[in-house]
Amino acid sequence: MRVDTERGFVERLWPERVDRLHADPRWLRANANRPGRDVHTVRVSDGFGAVSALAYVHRTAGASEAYDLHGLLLGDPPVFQWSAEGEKRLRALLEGGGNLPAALLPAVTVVLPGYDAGWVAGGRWTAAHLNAMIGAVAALAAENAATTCAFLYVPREDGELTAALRRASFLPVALTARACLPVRWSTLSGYTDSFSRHRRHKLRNELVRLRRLGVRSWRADPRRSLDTMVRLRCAHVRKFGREPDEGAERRRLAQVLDNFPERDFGLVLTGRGDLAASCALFLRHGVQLHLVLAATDPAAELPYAHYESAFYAPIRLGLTPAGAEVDYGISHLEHKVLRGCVAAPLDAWVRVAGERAGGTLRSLSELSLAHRVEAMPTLTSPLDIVRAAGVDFVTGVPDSELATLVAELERGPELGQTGVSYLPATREDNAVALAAGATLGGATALVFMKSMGLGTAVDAITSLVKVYELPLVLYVSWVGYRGRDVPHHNVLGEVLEPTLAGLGIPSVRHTIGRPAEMLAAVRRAVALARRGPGPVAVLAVPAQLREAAGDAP
Amino acid sequence: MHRDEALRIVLLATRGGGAALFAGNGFVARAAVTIDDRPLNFAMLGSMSLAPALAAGFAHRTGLPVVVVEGDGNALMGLSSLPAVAAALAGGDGHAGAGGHAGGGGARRGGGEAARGPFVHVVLDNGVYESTGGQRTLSPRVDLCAIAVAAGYPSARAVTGGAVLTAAMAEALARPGPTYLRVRVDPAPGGPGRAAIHPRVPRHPRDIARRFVAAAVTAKAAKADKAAAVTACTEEGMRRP
Repeated sequence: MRVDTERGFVERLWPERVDRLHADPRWLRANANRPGRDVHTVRVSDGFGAVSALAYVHRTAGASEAYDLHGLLLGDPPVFQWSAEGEKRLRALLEGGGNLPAALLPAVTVVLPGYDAGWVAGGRWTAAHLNAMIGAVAALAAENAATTCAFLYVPREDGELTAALRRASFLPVALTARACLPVRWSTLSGYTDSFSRHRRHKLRNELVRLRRLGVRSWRADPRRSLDTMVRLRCAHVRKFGREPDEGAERRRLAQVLDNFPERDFGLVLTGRGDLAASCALFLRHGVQLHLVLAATDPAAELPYAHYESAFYAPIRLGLTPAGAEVDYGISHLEHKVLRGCVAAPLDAWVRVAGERAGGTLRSLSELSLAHRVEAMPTLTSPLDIVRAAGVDFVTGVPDSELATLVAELERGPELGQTGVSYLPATREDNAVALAAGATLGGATALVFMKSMGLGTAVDAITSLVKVYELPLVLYVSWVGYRGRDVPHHNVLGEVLEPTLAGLGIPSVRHTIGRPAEMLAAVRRAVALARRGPGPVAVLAVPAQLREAAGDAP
Repeated sequence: MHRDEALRIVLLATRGGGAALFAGNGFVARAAVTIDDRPLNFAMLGSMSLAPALAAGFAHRTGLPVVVVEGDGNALMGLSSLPAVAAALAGGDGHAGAGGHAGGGGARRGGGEAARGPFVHVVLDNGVYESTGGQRTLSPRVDLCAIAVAAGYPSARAVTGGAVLTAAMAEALARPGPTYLRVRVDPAPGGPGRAAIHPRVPRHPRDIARRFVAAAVTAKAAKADKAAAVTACTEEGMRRP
């Protein structure tokens, strides 16, 4: 295993293809190098696969705003959310534990490299790559005599990374959650109608108040509005009790604007008359729209102006197309969830040197996990789940067990789900070939079928998908499960798992009708397929067959 | 007209039109690699009959111009894929097609795909399974063009002779949507199975896929930027067998 650690953000050590904004070299060019911290690019590779991450060495307190364990322990306001009770207890803990933040510096923080990015990988990476990456970061910490080594913003569902961190004696600390708004409407009234009556009433009241105050919003050219954005950003930073570095803010924003095509940006300004009191800058990346700058000048005293520019105006001005997902970042979760966002919890995994710091960290870990943000169970439709797992192309041959999914696929746009293309197929092998073709064109594809269909598709799976190493998810309803079905299903049903194993196809399973299980299974399958090589199967077990087989629920 | 001659005309037109090529398995894939080994050519080594569906999935997703070539053995085996291919490439809701009844299962366009480009489905019909030794196929008994139209292809025609094929390729690549071309080619000179034997494709499928995906990304970017990055079309650009 070859380990490269180089100072700076080194594009040569970064994979060519990444599907997340915060791991995109264009984003990192603008954001990776910030004053007060040294960034290092770490890459672990062998002939088959590679894993890369960015590691920051922090030497001074307050060196960076959001990506700093020090800021995080102090409760830096833009970063994370504690319940009032949790915050009180955390403060007590910090005060009782002495000057903890100073004790934790210098620190090596792997921010991976932003909250939506995670570590990045290419080819056939394995757990060994992850272990080596963690080892390389720990070595960097030792070289810099760091007290603390932390992996920030680890998605709780990233089972592979969390397992590797646990093996390396890191402790989890609940940090925050990422808020995303799945867009299922095309008008503002469609948006407000999507809420329960009580909530809808409140949102409409906000909109009425905004109108009465004479607040208006307009779209503006980001480059020409750079001064306005910097002014609002600085006012926003001051609101949190820090003195902004205007030059640095301007440079960073200008760099972000320079690194992406103009058409990918959308800027909303909100205010009274022509003077903007609030701004929201969106950047499109794939199906996601990221809110990359949101700032409001408190001096303007316009209540709700922030929500107007970040939530309502983008819908009114047609900035958020149906089917998109708007990423609202990681701070002030509560307000975002009230406005329709879905939360995905993010943890920090931390290891410290020294007895006393170790004890404090253990308490902190227990305390924070007791108050952690839970994922919001909002997705119940199979189509939404498939989409949320990252799939954007579906084909297949129906089965009665998959009736809901297929019905939703056929009615997708009516249901507001336009992020998934659906092609009906005539046979399972044709379906696999259609999906393989879409994959060659950049799709993340899923093929549904019943277990019998797998027999039809074996040549397509083996001599096409497998040997060409195409990432593909096979979503198989497991009729004939454990021989508890009709005779013509039972023969293959009984040997489905060994058959897949014999073909070298990894499989994950879930019970039909359990949305959380389904989301976890499809997400896992997508991750495994992307890691490659070749296809991964999700075995969807009909609930009644599972019961008939006497399996534990 | 011999198969390799027809194939050379098809490959030249494909390169000229900046189209992606999918070559069906058997001698077609081998000959395609021997004649014009460019990154945007996908040689299908196995999975007999699945080239059109593979090509349709790619075309549906990217909107890039696509040419798929296969032999008559492949075409006969893959008849069941024709309705799915036609639906994948139909504009709007995918209900287009001769005799199609409204409300039948149509393709649905989602966020990730592009407007459709030309899609040319070429069947090189010599009436034999050449790569397995020249056994007869059932193609002389079958009206493949009629099946294609019945399955939803808006246009299908039988083509004989190099000049007609050249014109038909140019025409098909100039308009969006699928075209089916059944090209009559002679069985190998000296009897079935006696044609120039092309070597096996000298590349691991994994590398074919990687090279193709990289070329497709470039082609998509070029299309997105509306840059006229059409590869120069010259006879010299091709290697002769």
